[in-house]
Amino acid sequence: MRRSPSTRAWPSGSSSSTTRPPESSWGAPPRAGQMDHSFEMGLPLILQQDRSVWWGVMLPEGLILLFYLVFYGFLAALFTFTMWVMLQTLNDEVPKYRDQIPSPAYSVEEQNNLRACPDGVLFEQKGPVYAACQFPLALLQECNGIDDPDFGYSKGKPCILVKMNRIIGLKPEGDPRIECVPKDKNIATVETYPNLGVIDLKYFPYYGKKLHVGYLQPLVAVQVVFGSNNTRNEVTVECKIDGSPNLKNENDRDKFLGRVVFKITARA
Amino acid sequence: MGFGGKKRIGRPRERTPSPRPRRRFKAKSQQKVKRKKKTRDLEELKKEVVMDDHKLSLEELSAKYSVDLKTGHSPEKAKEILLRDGPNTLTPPATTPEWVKFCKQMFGGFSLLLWTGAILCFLAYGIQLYSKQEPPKDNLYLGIVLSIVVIITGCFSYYQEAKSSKIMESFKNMVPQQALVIRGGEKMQINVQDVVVGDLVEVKGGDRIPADLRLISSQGCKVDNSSLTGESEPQSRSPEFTHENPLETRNICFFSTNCVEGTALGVAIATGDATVMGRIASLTSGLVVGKTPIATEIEHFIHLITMVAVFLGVTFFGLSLLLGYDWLEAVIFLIGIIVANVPEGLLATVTVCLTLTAKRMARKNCLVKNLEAVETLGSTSTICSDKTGTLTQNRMTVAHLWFDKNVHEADTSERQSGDTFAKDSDTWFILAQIAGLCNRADFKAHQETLPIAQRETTGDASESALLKFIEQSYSSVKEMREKNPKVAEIPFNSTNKYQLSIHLREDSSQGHVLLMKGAPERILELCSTFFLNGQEYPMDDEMKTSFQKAYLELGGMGERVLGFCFCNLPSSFSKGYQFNTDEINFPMDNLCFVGLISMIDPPRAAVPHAVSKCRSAGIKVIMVTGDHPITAKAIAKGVGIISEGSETVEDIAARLNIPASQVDIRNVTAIVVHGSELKNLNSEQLDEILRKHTEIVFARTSPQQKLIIVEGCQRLGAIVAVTGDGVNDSPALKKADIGIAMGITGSDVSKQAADMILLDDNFASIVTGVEEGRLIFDNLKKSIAYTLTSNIPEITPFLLFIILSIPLPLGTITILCIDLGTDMVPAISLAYEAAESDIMKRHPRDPKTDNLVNHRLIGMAYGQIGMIQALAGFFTYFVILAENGFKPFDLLGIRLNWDNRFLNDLEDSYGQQWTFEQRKVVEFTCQTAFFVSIVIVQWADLIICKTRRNSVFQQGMKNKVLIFGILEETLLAAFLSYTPGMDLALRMYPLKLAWWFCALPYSILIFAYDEIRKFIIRKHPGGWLEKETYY
Repeated sequence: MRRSPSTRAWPSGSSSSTTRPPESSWGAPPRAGQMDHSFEMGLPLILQQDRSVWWGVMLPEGLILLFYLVFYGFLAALFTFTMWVMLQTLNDEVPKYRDQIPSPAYSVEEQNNLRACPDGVLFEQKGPVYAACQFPLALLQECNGIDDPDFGYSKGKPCILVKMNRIIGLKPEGDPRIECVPKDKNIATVETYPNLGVIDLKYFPYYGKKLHVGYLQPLVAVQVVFGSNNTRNEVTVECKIDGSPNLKNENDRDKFLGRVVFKITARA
Repeated sequence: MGFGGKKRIGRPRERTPSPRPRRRFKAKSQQKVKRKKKTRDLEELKKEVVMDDHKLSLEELSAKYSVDLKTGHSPEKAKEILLRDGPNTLTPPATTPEWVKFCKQMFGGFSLLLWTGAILCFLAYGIQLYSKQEPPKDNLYLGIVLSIVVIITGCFSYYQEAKSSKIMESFKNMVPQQALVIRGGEKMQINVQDVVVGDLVEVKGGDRIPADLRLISSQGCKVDNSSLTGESEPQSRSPEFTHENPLETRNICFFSTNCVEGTALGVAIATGDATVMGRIASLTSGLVVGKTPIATEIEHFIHLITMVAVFLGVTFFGLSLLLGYDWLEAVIFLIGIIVANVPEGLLATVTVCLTLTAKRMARKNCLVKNLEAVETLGSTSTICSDKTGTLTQNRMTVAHLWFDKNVHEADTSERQSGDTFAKDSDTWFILAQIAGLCNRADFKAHQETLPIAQRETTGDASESALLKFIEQSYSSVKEMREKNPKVAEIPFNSTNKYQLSIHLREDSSQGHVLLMKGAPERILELCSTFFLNGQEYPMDDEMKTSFQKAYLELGGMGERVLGFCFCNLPSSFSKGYQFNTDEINFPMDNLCFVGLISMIDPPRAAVPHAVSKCRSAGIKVIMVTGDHPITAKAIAKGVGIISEGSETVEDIAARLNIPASQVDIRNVTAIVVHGSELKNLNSEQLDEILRKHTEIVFARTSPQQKLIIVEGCQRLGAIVAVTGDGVNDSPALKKADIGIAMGITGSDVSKQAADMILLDDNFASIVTGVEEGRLIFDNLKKSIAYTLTSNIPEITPFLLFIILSIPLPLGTITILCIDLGTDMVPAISLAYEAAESDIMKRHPRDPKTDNLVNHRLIGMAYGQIGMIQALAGFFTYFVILAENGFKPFDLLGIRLNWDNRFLNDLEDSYGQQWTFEQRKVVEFTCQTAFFVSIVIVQWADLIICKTRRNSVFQQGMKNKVLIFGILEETLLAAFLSYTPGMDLALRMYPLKLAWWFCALPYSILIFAYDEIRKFIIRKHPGGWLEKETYY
């Protein structure tokens, strides 16, 4: 906001030196060949003038810059320190609070797998090495992508993969399964794989990115089959989690909490 | 008064056969040229009054106004003139219509800044509406809130000022006045407004003069010209032409002055606006007044803020373009940043602070008409004070007595106790008898319960003063008069210059005593003996010398001196003798001289102290009075306007016995300027006088000259306060930066012209006003420093949101919660802060350099404390996100995904996946926590803003409102965070207890940093740190 001293001091100094005839400034009689010399002589004088202005203005100006430099340096250091302290308090494996995501959401994805685990029970591990349970693609039957690399899209029976968001330490209760219903049953029917959209408990709990290397959450494939004699081939399907008392599927605000709604349009 | 000693014979009048200038016609017919004419008129009005009616003989007068001096106008002719000239009323000053006043509140100064902000918001929303499918409504809401804030604050200050003017209304005297005129040979009562030029008007004691009158005849008529001249001493009026100056001559009575006693018949020579009073009123209403200092300061502040806002906005506009945002988005950012710099709550805070001070001042008898004038008194560097009624009690009081060759001092304070001098002398007994008996004044009935000094009396000021004095310090005058009945009397007149009365003696001797009082030299002439300690001695030269000495001494003190003598009449004049006062049949020489009593309108008791306080506060007090120089100077010395050691040129000349021209004027600081000298000065010479002297008295000044003096002071850069009560003061009152009228004795016109009214007429109240004004200026600084600080933690989140693409750390709603919620009460509470040091010991601020908001304040608020606060907020923000799974470094650049409504499996640092809504809840929780952090760092900010130099430990925490403010903001923050339903209403979420403490280290840092800064400032006064950071 302040005017820079150099822009103020320099032009005035130099302009006065060029406009003022050097003879008069020195009081010496004009002599041929002295023009350059006197101009050169004039320069230090201007510099001198400027320096006084320079020190008069630049000193506090420089000081205030230095002050802010030191001040912000100190603040930055302090901030870094407090951030560092905070990061030290964090657990590398599990976030401190997980109450913001009590319940997973559902979305649509593809996948890949690892190791066989006993079905139907939570696969709790003590570490130090955490294994991820295999999800045999065969479970997805028509939608496994092996028999039909087009996932049914070429046949007018598109597969949609629905998954739960990963949440560390989530242990579903009961028999969670994903239930999908088309808005209008006359237009299309819906198949879910594995059968009944069951989500096996063996994929829970999740121990976090760092410990649980290679973990991917279980999937449910939803296949939409349009009725053959239909002219309208557009359907809205709603999938939601069911059968587990601690997995919510209703929230006014979060339309994706425990459920997902998607619309499929097929064109011949 | 110094009106027109130089003759400018009837210049405007002579050209017009009609006595009224044709202005009225012109105003009606030539509306177009009105503006130009108005300025010329104003110059005309600033000149002295010119008229010649007082010099005319009755015949000339009769011819001039074509009226028969016996029968008056015929009713028809009167009607005709009335139609021509219009009613005999003063054109009321062009009052600003209410809606203009309202609009001024709505769109003036600070409001304009907020309006600009609001319009920018709507503009941004418009752009978003146009460019996006589902635009966030933040800008719309912000625009609406800004507009609501301006409207509410505008209404509030309008209401406040309307309330003050309501009080003004109540001062107005609404009773319609009547006048007694002779028309067509008949006396008739008509309304004053129907009086026309040339009417024969009869006035009697108690009447208000209905027009400017040239007297034709009078019986003992006395008028009180105080509303015109400020001097309340009644002046006698008679048909004789006694003075060139129309204001001094006896044969003119002025419109709206009062006839005190007697009767008079006169010809109306001017009515309405053409009267002397009307000219002053028009001059007053024609004056253009400048901005108040605080308005200038706020303008300066707006400039600074705008500069900062535009600088930030443009910088980040460029940055966001560089970062690859499209230009429409960048424009939204630009607007957002500029608007974010608008301190939404400050307008309300400043208004409330000023209102609080106005209320506090009203309690201390300073009624402020205009809110902004609250501070003006604090900036005042020169006070031009009227004398009579402001500095003095406006009541003649006995000040000194001289008898037994000694001067005795009487008590002149407002509550006279009396017993101050030796009363055992027989001379005192005689003197008291004369003063009580040879006295026509009397107390009005039914006042026995009142203290003597406050009782009302009949009779002139000197006699009343004597009456009260005797009643107070001797005995009941009533009893005295009953015991010594008056048998004959010669009342005072200006040729005799004495008053005489003859009384029956109290003792059984059946003799009479002759008592006399009058002009001392006249009394001494009549005396052949004098009274000393109860003995009569023949008059000798020694006595005469000591009389002269005493007379000069008392007269030199500006006092009115009366001499007293008596004579026991020989037994040939015993009871029953018929005294004839017309053909004097009793001896009236060889009297016995008793003593002198001198009187003065004494200064109010509190004034000398107040003047010295003004002095130490660096305020120059100038006396501007219509009174005589000697009296003015005496009072000036009495109240300290001319301080004890100071001498004027004349004083020095008298002391050294050299002519005044030889005095070395370089060291002279005091001066008494006579109105007639002032008239011949040009403005440079006047400036020279004002610059060179610290102690100035202007005597015998006209209303126009008062105005010139004020303008002179303002030319020198002073902020001028003017006090006055009369109509004569009103042009100066209006022109002054702050005009102060007297609430009790002040005329309506002066109250209209003033910005402030002293309800108790006491000059000392001005000192309170100065103190409050200075305090509020300091406290406003603090308040603004406090409010501006939180601007940085409010803007930086948005800036980092743009640059680092992190989730928005602080939203619009939370910003509004701070500016209009939690910051309000604490900011206002700073208005209650006590002064850090004796603010009456320092000089008035220099309006050029000592600004309300300067770059140091901005530097402190924005550059230092604000930055620490922003860090506190960001720390809390990062803590919450990290503890929920989003580590700081993973946040950088996350914005697009984060704000993508359709991305419902955003992965955090731990591999968890979040839906849009879930992360928004975390984001809003962060914003709530950021908000709470600001509240917590604002605790420290509030405490450091309490003082600018002192440590908080020196200042203490006595400000209860401030403590309440801290509690209030904390509770409000907790309420906003924890109340169920807030998540839906304001998107604020409950916080874990630990998150409240994240900002605490920073709060402590702010406190420690500032204490250290202030410590260094105190240790090195004038040092670098003070120059750079002391705001």
